[in-house]
Amino acid sequence: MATHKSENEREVLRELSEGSESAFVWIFDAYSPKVYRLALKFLNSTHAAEEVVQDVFMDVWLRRNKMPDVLNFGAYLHGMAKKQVFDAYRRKSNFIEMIREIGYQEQADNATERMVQEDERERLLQEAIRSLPDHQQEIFQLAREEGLTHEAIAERMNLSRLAVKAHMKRILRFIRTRLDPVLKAETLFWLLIFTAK
Amino acid sequence: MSIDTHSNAANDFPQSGMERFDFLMTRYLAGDASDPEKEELRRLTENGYEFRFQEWLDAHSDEDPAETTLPGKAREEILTNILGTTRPQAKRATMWWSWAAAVLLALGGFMWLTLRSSQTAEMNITRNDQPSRQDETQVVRGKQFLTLPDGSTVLMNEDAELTYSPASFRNGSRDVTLHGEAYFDIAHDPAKPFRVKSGTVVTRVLGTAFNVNMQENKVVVTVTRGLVEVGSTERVYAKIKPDEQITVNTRTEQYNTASVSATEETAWKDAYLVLDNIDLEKAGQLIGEHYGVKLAFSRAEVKKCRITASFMHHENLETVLTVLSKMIGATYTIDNGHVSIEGGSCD
Repeated sequence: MATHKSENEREVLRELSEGSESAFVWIFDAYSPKVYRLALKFLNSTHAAEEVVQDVFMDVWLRRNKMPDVLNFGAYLHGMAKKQVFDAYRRKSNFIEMIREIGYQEQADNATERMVQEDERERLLQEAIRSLPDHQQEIFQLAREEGLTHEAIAERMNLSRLAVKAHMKRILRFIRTRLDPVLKAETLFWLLIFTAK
Repeated sequence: MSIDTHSNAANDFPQSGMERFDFLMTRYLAGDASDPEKEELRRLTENGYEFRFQEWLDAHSDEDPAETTLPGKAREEILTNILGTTRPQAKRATMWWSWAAAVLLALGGFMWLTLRSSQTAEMNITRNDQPSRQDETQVVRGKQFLTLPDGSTVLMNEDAELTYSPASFRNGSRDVTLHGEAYFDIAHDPAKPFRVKSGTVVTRVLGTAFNVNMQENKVVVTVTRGLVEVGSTERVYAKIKPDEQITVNTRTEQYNTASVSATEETAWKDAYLVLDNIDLEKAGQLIGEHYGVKLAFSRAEVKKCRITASFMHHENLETVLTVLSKMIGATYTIDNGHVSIEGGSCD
């Protein structure tokens, strides 16, 4: 039976990698309850738990072509869920300080290098933002410049809270790929500043 | 549940932290935690118990399926947000996953530490650090620069004394005890906070640079980079940011924080010129910055030579250059702020 199940799963993952939405929905329905319960248990908030589910499965969808390579999909999803739950838990407190600290770590030792690094990062960031669709640019500005929360942005732009979160994730992903030549992906944690509550 | 490991606790620190964490987590998950307890749990999580949080997540990954499921409305919306405009119909599948038991705190690797003593010599030069692997508790005294097993560096001021255990570093705790004054530059490791114990005052960080000065009745901590938490073993006094300073009266446990210029407060360390296993090109830059001169090398290949040297006092430029030149078998000339290093090789 186990073999049958895992063969079935491999087939679904293969379909997913080819862009099958029904395969995605199948996977979503099979696995999301567990992610949701884990998140709900540790975050004590249905809103936060829904966001975790969206984050985890959006990653699955955006990286669908890689999914057939995942050896143990259950374990993979669990790892993602844990990470998202933990991030969501910490974000409630001194998230900004956390980001600030991470930002500091990845910098060069030397003050001049560091300044050059930061200028370059800011330049690429601005460039990346300019090439986003208009509504995503607006979301980014509201979050970064005006420091608005998800809820406030959702209200301002007449979108749902989850939709704003989804946009932010896409923006983040886009910017990350643009800035990658300069910085390691982990460094870009600081960008998460605008996905914070 | 596999929450029963009580290893890795630091020798010098209270071992009740993990029990406390588990207690708070149990209450939190049961929905019984008060607001102060939630806050305490959060603080513990951020200060060394992230791994424990992860272990709890693992322990709860394989619970019996409860009735709770994602509300239909949220499901619809999430699928729409991810896939775009399509609104797929529900297809309920029953598939239970087997969570893999994650291995946490898997660390190890080869670590060695270098200690350089400068008890007699004011100037202390080594070309190649000799790795010495010792597991006994190390006590390091006096003015010097040292690299801890995790890659963090410590610049110790006169009369400072630092105690740490290489073995416990290998086991994943990063605890040191300090008397006197030292400047720490901590290698970032979110899973393992670095703790400096000075008397009753404990400074906790994840990865930052800061100065600790323990005096007769007080401990002064100044931050130059990152975020540092200062407290006792029982409670947290304050979190301090760059250019902030906290002074703790160790008798009364009273403290106050102030804005300072961290550069000025840690000026003592600038008297040191530390060249810590870097190539000569970089060393040239540091020396140049330190003395306001420009260095040039006649042979490009010597720029790649790696050196380690620390100059503990305000040595004059000639001394530094003499030492450096000797190390690579070169000669130097100084002309109007321009230094030329002639010849030399890395062998």
